[in-house]
Amino acid sequence: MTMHMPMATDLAAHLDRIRRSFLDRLGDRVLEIDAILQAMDRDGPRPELREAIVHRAHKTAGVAPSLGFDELGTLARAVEEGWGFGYGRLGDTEAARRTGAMLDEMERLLDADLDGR
Amino acid sequence: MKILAVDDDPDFLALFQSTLQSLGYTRVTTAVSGDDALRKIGYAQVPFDCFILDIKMPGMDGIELCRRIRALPQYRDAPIMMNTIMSDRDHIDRAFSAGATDYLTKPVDPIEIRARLGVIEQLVLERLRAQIAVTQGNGAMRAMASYGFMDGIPMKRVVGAMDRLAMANYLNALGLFRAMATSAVAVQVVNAREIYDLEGGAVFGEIMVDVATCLSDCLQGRLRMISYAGGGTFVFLANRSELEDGERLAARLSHYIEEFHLVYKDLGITLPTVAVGTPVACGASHLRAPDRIIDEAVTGVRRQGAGLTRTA
Repeated sequence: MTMHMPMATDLAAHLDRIRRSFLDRLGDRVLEIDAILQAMDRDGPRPELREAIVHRAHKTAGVAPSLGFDELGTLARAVEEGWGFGYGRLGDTEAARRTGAMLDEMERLLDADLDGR
Repeated sequence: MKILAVDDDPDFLALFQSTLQSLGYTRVTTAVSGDDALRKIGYAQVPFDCFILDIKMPGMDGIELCRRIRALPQYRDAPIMMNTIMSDRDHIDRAFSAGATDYLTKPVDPIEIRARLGVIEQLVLERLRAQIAVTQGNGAMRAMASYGFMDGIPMKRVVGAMDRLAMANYLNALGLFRAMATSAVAVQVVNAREIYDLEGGAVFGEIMVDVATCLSDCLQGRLRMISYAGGGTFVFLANRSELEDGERLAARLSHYIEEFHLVYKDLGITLPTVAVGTPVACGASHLRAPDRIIDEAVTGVRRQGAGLTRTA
């Protein structure tokens, strides 16, 4: 789809819509990661479960800072490294702790969003 | 400039598109996967000028997509920019080896994007002008491209060949610390001017491709990145730990070139002779621009006669 976007005057409104869309999806992302963590508790950190968390953290880290959620971006990057590149060095406990911190920040943002509506 | 941006994250795509729009780039097409991108490339009636690819996507990742776009004849020279948060050396190496021109790291920084796309836009315009000059030329010109002595010469069929811009972007993407493990080494065809004057620009271009092929075959390290700097000068990058002694490399390269001896003799063409320059490594003086080692290596091999290893 080739889009001819609105001009710069509409940029702020457009960014607000993207931010809204990101937050709308964030609740689902929290539930998905929770479910993956539960599966890890049950079956251990199988590679496909680790990859599922890494993928979600990666996508969060890529976009969150640009929408003003710097802290979430930093935590998501740490999760990606925890379960991904640094997994062998850090181990399950540290990776799970980082994931918990990221989930806390996601839930804090969702609560703040609810309060602001 | 017509851009195809590929990312599986709809929020990122929307954000990125807004950023591009605010910078004046309005002809942006988006795709949510490698397959979607290839489909849109296939359907496009007006070709894309530039590609911006996420690396980590389900199914075909951005590096494989880059390789497939690069394999399309229409896009073998098209600028391809990777846009990712993967800043580790393995991903950077693999992206540039697959044909990436540049490497941007997320999150989106409009100032950085403006600077990088500005350079790419200039590149696109220069290539367009060159293409128009060739298609408006006579039949002979179209059949065999002719080059000035200092012109760039496309080396796309040579394994590891990349243009100067991509090589510079590779070093800058590594950052100074990791670039310090990398050296630039220049190779000079000592009799390049003589060959050019005797044979003309078209044959000279073919001979330089032959030399590049020999150089590519010679490089045995993990990195294989070669660029042609014009005037019979090549530059390649090597991990410092894998650097080969200059004399030994020059001897091996000459041996490979010697294999062309009979063919060149039949055609009455002088065989190229080569000199290998002193490796240039990143140091404190390259803090702001690690890519300066490329120019220093090139300048060095052209000027430092005493430091050269010559073979005939």
